[in-house]
Amino acid sequence: MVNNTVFLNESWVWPVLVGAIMLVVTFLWKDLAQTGKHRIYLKSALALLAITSLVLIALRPGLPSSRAGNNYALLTPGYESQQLDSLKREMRKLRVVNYEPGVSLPGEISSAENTFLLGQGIKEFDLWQLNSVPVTYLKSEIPPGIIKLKYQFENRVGDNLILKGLYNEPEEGNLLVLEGPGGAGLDSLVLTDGKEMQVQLQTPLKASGKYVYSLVEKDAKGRIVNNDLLPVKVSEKEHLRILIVNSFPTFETRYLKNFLAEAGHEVIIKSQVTRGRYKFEYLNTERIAISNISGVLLEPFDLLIADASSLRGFSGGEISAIEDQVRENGLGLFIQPDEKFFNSRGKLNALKFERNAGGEITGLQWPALKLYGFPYRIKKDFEVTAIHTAGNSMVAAYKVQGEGRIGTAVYFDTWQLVLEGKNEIYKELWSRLIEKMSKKEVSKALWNSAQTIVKIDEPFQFELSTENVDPRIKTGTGFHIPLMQNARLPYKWKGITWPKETGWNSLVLDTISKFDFYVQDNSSWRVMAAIETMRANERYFKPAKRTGKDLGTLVAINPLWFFSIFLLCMGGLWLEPKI
Amino acid sequence: MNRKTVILQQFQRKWQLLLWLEVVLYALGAAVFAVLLFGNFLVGIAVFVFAGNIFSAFIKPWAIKLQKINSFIDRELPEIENSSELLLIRTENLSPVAQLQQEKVFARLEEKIKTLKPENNLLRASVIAGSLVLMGLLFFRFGWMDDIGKKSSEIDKTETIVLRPADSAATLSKPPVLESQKVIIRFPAYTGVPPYTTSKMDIEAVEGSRVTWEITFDTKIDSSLMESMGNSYPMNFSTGNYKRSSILNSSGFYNFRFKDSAGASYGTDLYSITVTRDKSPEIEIPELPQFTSFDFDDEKLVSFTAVITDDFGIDTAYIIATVSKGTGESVKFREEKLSFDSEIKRGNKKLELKKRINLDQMKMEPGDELYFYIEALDLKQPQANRSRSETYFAVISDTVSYGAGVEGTLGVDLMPDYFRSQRQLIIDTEKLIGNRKKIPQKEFNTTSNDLGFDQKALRLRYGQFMGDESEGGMATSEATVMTRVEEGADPLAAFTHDHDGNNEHNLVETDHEDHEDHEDDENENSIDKFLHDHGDPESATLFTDNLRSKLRQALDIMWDAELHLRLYEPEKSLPFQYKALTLIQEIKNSARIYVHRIGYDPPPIKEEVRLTGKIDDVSGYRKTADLRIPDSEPYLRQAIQRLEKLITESTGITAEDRKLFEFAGNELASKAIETPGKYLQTLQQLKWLTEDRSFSREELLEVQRGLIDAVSKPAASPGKGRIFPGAINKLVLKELEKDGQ
Repeated sequence: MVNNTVFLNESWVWPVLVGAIMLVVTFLWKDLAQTGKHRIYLKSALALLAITSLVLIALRPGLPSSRAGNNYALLTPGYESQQLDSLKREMRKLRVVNYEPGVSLPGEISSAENTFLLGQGIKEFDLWQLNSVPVTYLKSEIPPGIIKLKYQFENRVGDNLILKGLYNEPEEGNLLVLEGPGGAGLDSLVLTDGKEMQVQLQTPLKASGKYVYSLVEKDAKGRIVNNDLLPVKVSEKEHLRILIVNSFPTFETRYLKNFLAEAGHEVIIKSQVTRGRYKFEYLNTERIAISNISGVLLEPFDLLIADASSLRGFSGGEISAIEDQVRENGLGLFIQPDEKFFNSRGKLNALKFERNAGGEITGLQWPALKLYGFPYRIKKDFEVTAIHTAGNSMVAAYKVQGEGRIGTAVYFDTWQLVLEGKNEIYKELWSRLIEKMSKKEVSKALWNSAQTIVKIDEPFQFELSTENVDPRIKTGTGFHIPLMQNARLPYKWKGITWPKETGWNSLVLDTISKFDFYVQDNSSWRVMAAIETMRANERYFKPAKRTGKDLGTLVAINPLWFFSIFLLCMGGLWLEPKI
Repeated sequence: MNRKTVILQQFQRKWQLLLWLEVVLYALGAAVFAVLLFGNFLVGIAVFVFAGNIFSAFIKPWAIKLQKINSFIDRELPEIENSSELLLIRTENLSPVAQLQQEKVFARLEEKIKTLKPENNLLRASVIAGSLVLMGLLFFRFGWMDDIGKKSSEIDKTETIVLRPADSAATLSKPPVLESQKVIIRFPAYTGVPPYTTSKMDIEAVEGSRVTWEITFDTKIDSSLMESMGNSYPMNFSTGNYKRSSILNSSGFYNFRFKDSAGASYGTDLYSITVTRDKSPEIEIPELPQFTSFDFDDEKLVSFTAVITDDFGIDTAYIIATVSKGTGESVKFREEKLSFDSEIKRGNKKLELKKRINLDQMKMEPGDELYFYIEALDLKQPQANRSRSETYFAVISDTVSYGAGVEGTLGVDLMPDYFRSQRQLIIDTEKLIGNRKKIPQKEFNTTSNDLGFDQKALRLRYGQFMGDESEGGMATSEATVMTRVEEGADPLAAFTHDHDGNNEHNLVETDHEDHEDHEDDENENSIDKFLHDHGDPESATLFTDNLRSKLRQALDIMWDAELHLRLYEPEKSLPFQYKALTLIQEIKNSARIYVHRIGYDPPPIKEEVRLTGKIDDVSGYRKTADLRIPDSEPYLRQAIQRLEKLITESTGITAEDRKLFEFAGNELASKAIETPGKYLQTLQQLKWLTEDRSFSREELLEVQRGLIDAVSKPAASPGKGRIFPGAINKLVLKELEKDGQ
């Protein structure tokens, strides 16, 4: 029993004890001085008892309470009243508590034998309150609406904003509209009946800036049922610096260079005219001396496009210079293949090929598009990343080599697309390839967050990767945010902020980098939020159903007891001289 | 009620009915008039109800009481002797004298009531209603109501020029009030469209029209400008109003800008100018075949009617005819300009012109060809629209070269009746089947039999190539033919010009003499003709065997065709005939001669001399170029971005922004010219944004929405990705590469 006794005001133990001892000493000294040793033991015992009572009143000793029959139902949004009713039928003494996000739960819930959590669950940031409480989570049905969402937050001009999602229990005939910043409908689809429905909407991004698109659901009569916001950041596309080396002029290169130069990229072409004679073209850039390929020459370029025959003609030094630049500096190397290339071996021949029926390549992402192809396809491998696939076979791919990439494509004569008037497709085909292959810009800081939707007054967790040894982060309003460093990866940091205003917020890392995020109010993405909360709750309460046997709450012993002992002792001390 | 009262009541009902009819006529007339005038049925119904009520209140058909009837009858029929009232009283209640009088009156009334007409104005009502309807129709037909509508409300509310203060200073002072606005559009004189005045500021007119704007204000204003497509033109002040006039050459937009005496400036909405082009005349020549052919002895007349239409009037039209004489190198052309027979009324919108071209008058001879087309010009100034019809041909068949033209004009006439080609047989058989119900059975059977004979003749003709014994088959049935067969060694030598029968395509190798000379070789084995004895035995045999089998097959099929014809079953015979025709065609085609195309075989390259040519004169080549194609809509994109910022941060529009919106507006305007309806509103709103005042969030959102819609999708271009080179990524890659090796 004593072992189990715990003082609720444990932190006061020492001051109270010191005070009590001083009281006892003072009393004994005063009594000895006044009345001598007459009944000193009796008086000392009474005084000790009285002071002990006082001490106990101050320290509030507690005893573990019994939990039997102490059941709670914690109601969270979206709970099913039927569940509550059947719980009530089972347990007479069920006490019902309503949950409000951010508000502390009543203390007595910690003494419950069992707590039934009903509904969508409590917010992730409130879960700690149920840390030592036995909880049975009875989750509710998944509400109808978008339950999965995927879209790119950071985009560039010319990209398509593609929104993919999973709609739970769609209502037939309702219209899902992707609306632009001004509320202009950009894309829409009609929901069909069923359990779940994959939805995909897209629109081209035409201007740079930070925008808020929205996903609006309208019923058959055009009334807005739901309006969820989609913050999107669009930045300008950077220009690339590309070097093209050809052993003879080709139409392919001619059209490619025109396309790239017209789009504003800096392109230098070196093509052999005849033995020892070259044609140099400097498009959108200054002249530089190009004799042999060297590390210094390649350094400022983002991509080297070389045809297979000039690759074969490179000296060993040139090849290793290219390889170095690819590995160390992140240069991209795109090889324009010829018939011989697929069977040759070489340092820069990173990809492997499989024989395939040659002729026409169809089944690319553009329907009805036909390209001339070599009778090979790129062999699938763990390190090989596809750029374009035709059906099941990779027709353009790259392999990561150190920091850079080496890749090729098994199609040729794509310039005929331009002549056929399929200019758009030609541009898309090459844009994607070149973008994937080119050197990446190394950013000093990379921001990351698992949260697609940030809500007001709720924590926003972010992750920062930076080489900065001591990163300091401020919010847009000037508050510092403490960071937690990853123990194993020292460049990774974690932080949490609680945004207080809706709209665009930002985090600033010194002067190096700025991260924008959009804070929404609680009205948007309700279903998604509910799903996330449900998942968090399930995870949290799953491991074991904690029972309340060993962990009980302490209930303070009623101080009246100690007070009466104190009164009795005082009465005894008062009575003693009179006897 | 007694029997006698009933007669009065009947009269009363008749009277009331007539009056009601009158009411309905008035109401209907008014309603129809209203419908025609306003073109709205609801208005018509409303007018009908209203007028109906009014007129019934005036005419009061219910007010015709029996007393009134009595007095009316008494007044109109003196015979009743003022006693019609007696009819209302029961006979029993009357004195005997009165009873007598009642009887008398009743008898008279019964006789006379038919002649009695209730007092009414039905005629007047129908005349008024009729004239109302007529008037409505007239209004409707000539569209006068438009003018009336215009005049009744000088300026339509929606068309009123709206003045918007262009800067915040202007909001403080009292804006000038527009008193009148007028646009006078004068179409070019040649169109013959009278000038008209409208208060509608969106202008739609033909190219070259002169437009005059006249605007009057209640107070004096300082200056007035018209802004159009980035330029501004001052408006002249004269006789109390501001005027400007201009000749329309291209579509576009314009707006006005005024400065009042206090210095505040006001802008108006943007209005569109749509310029339509004068269309070229359209020429149609119905029922004239593109190609007409005449024989020498025909009446060589080409007559046709050309229908020419134009939107504003035709100036003139004529025919350009070219006669070509001769053939080959000696061909000569002669061009003539012909006028139409009917008179051309200059300025008409539609002309129907007749022309008869007599080829003889054109001094054309057999073999000559006439090409002609019609050219029409409209009234457009200074350069008329010109359009021409298709070219038509008229040919006089050449008699001289008839021999060579067998194929084209062989027809039926030139060949003897008793020999028909397979194609002709098919045509005749089909004709026979078609006529089956029209001709007697006997004739049908005879014709069928005759066709059978022709089929046989054809078969024999081909069989001859195969070396078939022909005589036996022919002898049995037709004696006449038999004799013919017996007369000549070649039964069909006379008709060897038959198209599918002869050997003109060398379908079967005959002797190397012209087939006209067949008679000479008749005694020889005819199979020899199919054997190719050129010292190239392989090809010869292959060639002939294939053809022989095909020909054999064709002959067999012809047998069947003949059989059914002889059995008077031409329907069953037809499929065989078709099959035979196909086979004959195939045989013919297979005998065509194809010439090998000869390519160029280059001489082989000597590998040792490759790449040893002198390249001293070949020099390297350096080229520097800036090929960047600038974004065509940079300001539109910037404006979208800036608007987003203005919307979210709700800061005021700065002078810089105004400049940006102006540039964006210019970009949008050039886009909007192509599709004015789509972007006009956005363009207008963008224009307001350049003015110095504040705007609500909704206004900005609306502009942004319009801009996002208007700005074009940028072309695909590669960009640079962004990565953070984390140490762990590098490690993973390194390990992966190790594994791979």
